[in-house]
Amino acid sequence: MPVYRVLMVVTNKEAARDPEGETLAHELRKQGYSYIVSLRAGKSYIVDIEAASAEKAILLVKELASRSRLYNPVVHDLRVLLLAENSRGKVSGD
Amino acid sequence: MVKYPGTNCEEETAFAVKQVAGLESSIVWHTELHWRLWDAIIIPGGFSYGDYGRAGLIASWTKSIDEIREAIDNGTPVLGICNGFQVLVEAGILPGALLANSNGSFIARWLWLRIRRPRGPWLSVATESQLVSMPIAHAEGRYYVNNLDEVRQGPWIEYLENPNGSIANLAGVSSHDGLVLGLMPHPERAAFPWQAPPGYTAGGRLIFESISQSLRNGW
Repeated sequence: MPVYRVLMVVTNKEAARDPEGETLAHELRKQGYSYIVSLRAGKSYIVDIEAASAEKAILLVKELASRSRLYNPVVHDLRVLLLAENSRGKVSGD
Repeated sequence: MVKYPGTNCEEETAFAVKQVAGLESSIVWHTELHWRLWDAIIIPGGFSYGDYGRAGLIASWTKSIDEIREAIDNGTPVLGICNGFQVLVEAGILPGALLANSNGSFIARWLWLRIRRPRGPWLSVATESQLVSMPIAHAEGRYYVNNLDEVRQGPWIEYLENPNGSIANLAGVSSHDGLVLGLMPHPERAAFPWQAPPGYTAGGRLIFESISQSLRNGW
């Protein structure tokens, strides 16, 4: 079975305040990076997944995130992106 | 004592400076720091800016770091304790990086340390390989540095029993001349015998006795 490398990003929902992101954005603007409009902090995970296809790998990571509560749908947004695929099962990319 | 939002060890550090070193000490908000006013500068422990980004990162962007750099260039002793050490490392004033503890946990415990090649204002009364005990309390204390030989040109402090996965058991590192010292253990929590639990001694006194001696008689 091929292995896919998937990036999973968990951030607070847009409606939920993000003090870490807000503080970083504020302090960076003070440093002169005035072009920063907003910055959201979150957690990211790189997961190597055995799956029949890339679509299936993404689906499995979404399912994993929801069931395990690594992502809490009440307060979080979840983004899942394919980073690398290799049909021989060897993980490449970065 | 330089205070950032989230610094929380400044009172006891100032107390130890007064009581053990017999020196005057003040807590100074980071925007108010003017290095010329002070004989020595301590960045105490805590959680500056909530450890956002990384522990010590945002504090390392503040103007106080320019003051501290200038102070060091002019021979003022600078000490960073725990989060203060993280600030000095993030600012690039001390080499290396502090990563999350290898066991993934916040660790709060007393332990024994060995002082190596002591010199400079913060370790002037220490002797080579002297053993002292102090507590640690941190989540990001796993010291890493690319060039160990570089670090070992100055004095350093090592754990007898490595709690967090630090390279070469390093608990504290210093500039070559010892003028700048950063360490994860808390000397201010080991400054009086009544702070030490059974089996440990007030090893932090060494730092405060050293700076007292150094500022009065040189180093």
